[in-house]
Amino acid sequence: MVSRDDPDYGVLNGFHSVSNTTAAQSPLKACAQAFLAVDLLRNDERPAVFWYRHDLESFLYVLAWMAYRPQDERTVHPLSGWWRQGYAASRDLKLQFLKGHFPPDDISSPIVPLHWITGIRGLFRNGYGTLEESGLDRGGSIGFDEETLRGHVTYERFLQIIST
Amino acid sequence: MLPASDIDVQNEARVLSTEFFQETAATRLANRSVEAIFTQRSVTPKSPGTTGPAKTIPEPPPDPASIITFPDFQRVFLRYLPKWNMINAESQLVQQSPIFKLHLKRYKRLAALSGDVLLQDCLHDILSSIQSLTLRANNSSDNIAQPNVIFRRIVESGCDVQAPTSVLFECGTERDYDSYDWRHAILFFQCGGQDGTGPHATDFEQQAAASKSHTLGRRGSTKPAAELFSAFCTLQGPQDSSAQTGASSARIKELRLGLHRCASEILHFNPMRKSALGVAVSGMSAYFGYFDHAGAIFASPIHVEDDAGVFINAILSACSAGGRRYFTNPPCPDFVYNPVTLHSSRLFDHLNDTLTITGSISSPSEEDSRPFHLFSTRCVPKSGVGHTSPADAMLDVRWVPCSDAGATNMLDISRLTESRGIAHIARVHASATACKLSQCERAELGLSPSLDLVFRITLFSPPCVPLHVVSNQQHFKRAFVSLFKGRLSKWMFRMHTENSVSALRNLPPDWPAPSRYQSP
Repeated sequence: MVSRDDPDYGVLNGFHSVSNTTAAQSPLKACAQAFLAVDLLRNDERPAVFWYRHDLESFLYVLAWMAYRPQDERTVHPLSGWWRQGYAASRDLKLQFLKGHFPPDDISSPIVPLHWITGIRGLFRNGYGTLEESGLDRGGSIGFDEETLRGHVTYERFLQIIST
Repeated sequence: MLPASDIDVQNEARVLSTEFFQETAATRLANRSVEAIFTQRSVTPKSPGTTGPAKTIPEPPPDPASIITFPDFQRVFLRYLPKWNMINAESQLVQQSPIFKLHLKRYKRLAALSGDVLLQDCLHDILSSIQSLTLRANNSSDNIAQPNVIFRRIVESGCDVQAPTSVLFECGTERDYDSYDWRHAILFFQCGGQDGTGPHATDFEQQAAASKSHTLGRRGSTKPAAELFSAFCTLQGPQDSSAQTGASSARIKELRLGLHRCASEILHFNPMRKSALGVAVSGMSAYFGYFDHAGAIFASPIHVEDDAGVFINAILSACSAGGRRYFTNPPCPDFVYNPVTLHSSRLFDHLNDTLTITGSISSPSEEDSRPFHLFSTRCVPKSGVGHTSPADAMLDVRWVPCSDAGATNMLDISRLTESRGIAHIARVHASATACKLSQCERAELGLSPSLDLVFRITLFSPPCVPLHVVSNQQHFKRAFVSLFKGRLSKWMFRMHTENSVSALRNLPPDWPAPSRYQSP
């Protein structure tokens, strides 16, 4: 949210779902599927670890949700498959989005900087690309830096993009 | 920072009904535009919003055991009204009237043919006869204080329902049709004849998926079908006596599922609402259902003709009970458009201000996994007493699981971030619970603790607006970037490396971001 009295001051609220978790507990129950990272939507044997980059990815989806939000609330959101469909379909749609296949740029809001979205999704596209190449999904690639997807997704890179 | 406190449910219900959301008929009349808003959000059985894509709808599971006998349903959910005697008298009047008998006879004949598009018109006639007869009864007794029963087909209210053999009715009680807010109506879902030739739930999915035009004006379903069924409560009830009514069990499941979808959408977009009642009619069978944020409870079916008196009585009771499904009395979902006053000390035992709700900041949207409503408030200290809460604040209302430690964590986060000088985090001033679902209408039937929800009210500052309504790109950029700079980002690192709110307590005053997060 944005402070009503200072339009440049962002505010985070809505901590109702915050919980104390241990490694054995899934934090997913508190997350909105619409903004959940694709890594957390997968259904394979790799254990779900909640990294900070998942939050950065969620911010990307929040930006996209705002950017492509129809002006007319009766119109279906072009990204509605992210939350209307199941986890698997939501994951596929987000991967398509990360690859830049959808939605078309010309329907985006003029308020949300489009180069933020293209830049940040480039980080994740490359990061998930290296993850796929590493074979981690298939049980291989010991030592792969999963936390930052081999350095592709970092706080600095994210901040660099949104600072432009 | 002060701790959250639970409020005695009965006292709180009284406070909420008498002071929190008081609204007069005059103010509602002044807000007729609200109905237009609702019209856009109305639900239909074939709305993609209420159904979702066809391929994602699984086969209905075995009939859930959330069925109770009709007498029990009537006793628990319909029969607590103070004007019960009046309703009894009215239902007898309707049942004995020639016009009702005529419509019922015609309906019975058409129901036997099944699938006839006239069936919905005929059902409408039956409802209209109940409506007109109760109107007459009220007028003849000069009892102008009694509300009238009104039924309205959604097709007549500007919605683009085009299902050939199904129709959704809304029903409520109000003297003034034009100013009536249909959001507290009960639902009527009728689905063709008893042999199952009418549209099935899957038909709705396919039609919705095939027709983009139906996507306009619709909100999305909050839960897929499987989740709706899994959300049914765990009551053990009698077997459904559907055999006597001729309807197949698959058909009944579809009816109930459709009704539950509609109710779920209404509840999702109205967090202020505690519950909803619905009725599905198929052939000569009527299926009553109770819905709240935890699930559904259905009554065993009754026969529209053989149990006509009970049927009419139940409909009138359900309509009259509509207003009790809110935290408001009378129901006034548009109350946010009028300044209303509450005493914070009644809500939050450590505050002593008068809070005035000045507007709605954010309404639930379909993306919300846990819908909430945000209001702006103004706090005025009582005479001789200083402010115990900020002059301008926000009120957040939502249903949360009873088992969640969210409130404690939320207060902890607020306290810790404030003491550490971490900016950009909303400051929570008070949080209280008003009511548990298990203590509302379904109190007698109980609810599994894992499904129980509590209505939480939280007061926080500073006053904000949602980021997506910012209209200036520079403001948008600066506000968004501000969330990632400085100590807030470090705190967020901490949250996700330690995965624990309690870890914040050990946060050093100038805790640095771990180097492993830096770019290589």
